[in-house]
Amino acid sequence: MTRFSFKRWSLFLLLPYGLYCSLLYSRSLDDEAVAGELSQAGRRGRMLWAEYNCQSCHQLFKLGGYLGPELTHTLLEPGKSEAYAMAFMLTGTANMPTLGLSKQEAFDIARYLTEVAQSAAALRKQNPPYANAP
Amino acid sequence: MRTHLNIFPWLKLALLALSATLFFGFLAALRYQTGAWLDDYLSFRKLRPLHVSSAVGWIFASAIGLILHARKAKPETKEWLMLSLYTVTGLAILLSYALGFFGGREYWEFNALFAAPILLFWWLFGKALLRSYKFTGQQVPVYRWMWLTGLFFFAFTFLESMLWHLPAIHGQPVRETALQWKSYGSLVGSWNMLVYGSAAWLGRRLENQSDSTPDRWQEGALYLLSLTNLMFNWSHHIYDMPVSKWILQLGFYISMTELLVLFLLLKSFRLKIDGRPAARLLWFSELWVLVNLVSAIGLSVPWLNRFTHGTFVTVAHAMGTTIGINSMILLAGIAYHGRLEISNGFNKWLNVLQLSLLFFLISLFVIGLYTGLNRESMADAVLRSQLRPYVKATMLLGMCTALCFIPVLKMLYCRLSRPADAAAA
Repeated sequence: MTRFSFKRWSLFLLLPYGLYCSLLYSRSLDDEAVAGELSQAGRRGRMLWAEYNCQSCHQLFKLGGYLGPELTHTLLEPGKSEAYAMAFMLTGTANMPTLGLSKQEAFDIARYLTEVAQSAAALRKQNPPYANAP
Repeated sequence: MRTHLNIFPWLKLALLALSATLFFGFLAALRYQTGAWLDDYLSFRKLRPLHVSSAVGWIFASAIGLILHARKAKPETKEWLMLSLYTVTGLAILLSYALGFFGGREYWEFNALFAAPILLFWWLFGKALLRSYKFTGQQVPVYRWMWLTGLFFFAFTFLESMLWHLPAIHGQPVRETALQWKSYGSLVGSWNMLVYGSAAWLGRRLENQSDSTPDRWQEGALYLLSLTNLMFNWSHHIYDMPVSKWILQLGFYISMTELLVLFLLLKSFRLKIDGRPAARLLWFSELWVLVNLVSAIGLSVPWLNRFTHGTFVTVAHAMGTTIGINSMILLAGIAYHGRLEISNGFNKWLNVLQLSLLFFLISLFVIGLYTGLNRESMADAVLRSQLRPYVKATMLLGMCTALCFIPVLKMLYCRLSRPADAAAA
């Protein structure tokens, strides 16, 4: 085998990679219906989550920072609610600054977090964590 | 003169970006040590993107500088346009963070509008790189192949990482996150290609080999394995997410090919350190590759992933890769171009830096593992309060690592500022 073959093989990899990407964009979830879609408020909350850079301290699905707690499932935990999350966002804590959110904005973010938790929980019922891992 | 005018500004800019990275990282650690007083000026949600984006700026500025310096084509005035575009865009992004304007995701927390100048810059850089190559059908050295791969995949994965702005993507949080992890996994692979390409180029120069020297078969094999991993090895980030099984299975099997990479690297690893600063830096980077490869393989095993992913172990891996591997390679390239001479002072600080980094990573690893082992059985607030003194100690080690960089950077920057001396040497 010549040395150049390795590089030529790398070009051949582009074809399966293209197929892989298109499959991933369209079929990353086994059950689309169960996953559900974000509501209008949830979508607004999604954009606000980015605009206030909440991810610098909080993780969703383990993507984000480490200073604050992971929030993927928080709003479905016993004793937690959207009002609870809004109180945190509007008044702040020793470790979390007040970000100057309006009530509507706080509500939208709380809605987003609830819908993230619902989506994850619905899918997890079918596939518990690590059930699909090799 | 040519070298001074066209290349050293990139390398100097890169060193300034690295200094900014260390400064913002230091402030973020200080914020954790001393409480929220800093929030009135620069809160953590501003410091984190400032630190991360400066680090990305350092990697790209230095990699681009090294690539432009290695090419054969005549320098053009367009390079100044590229440099200006890069600097202005970078500063505007940092300013937007400092003023509290966000709108993106990890790595790219900026408003999506900034994607336009970034892509324009990449287009100009790609054109400059491609124009300097003559495609004659003859053997192309593996490092050029790596640079071209990095060039293509950065453009692709950068656009992919922006897909979440589409309502069809961000309307479904699980899919959005899976795609985001995919793009980031490959994005990091793309800039690694630029950096490792420079390492391969530098390796040849240090061994006095010309471009016409055929690649060793190990180099080709390592390139192919790296490319395969760049494309498909990212799904260990989403093992616990309810996504389709085939994605996770494929990612796992591809990630196990890293064992082959480890074998090839161990086989060619030399214990003896070359005294030249560039060679010394490159040797340390090889050592960190071995350490990080072992941790990457570990993170890909589902049983271990359960206790490590989303904890400080992930941070340790990211820091080990960025500082230990990428930064050492890029500093080696700068030392080579600056013709840094052998000096005890440089070697001493370099050794202290490696030791400091080692302790920092071990500390991150330990608190990460403790978190992973206890996060399901303990309340988050309790776990955090238990870990607080250890996290503070880790932050101190991080601050020490940042301080250890200063003399190394100072020596390199001074060397680049004296092009006449460098040329004479």
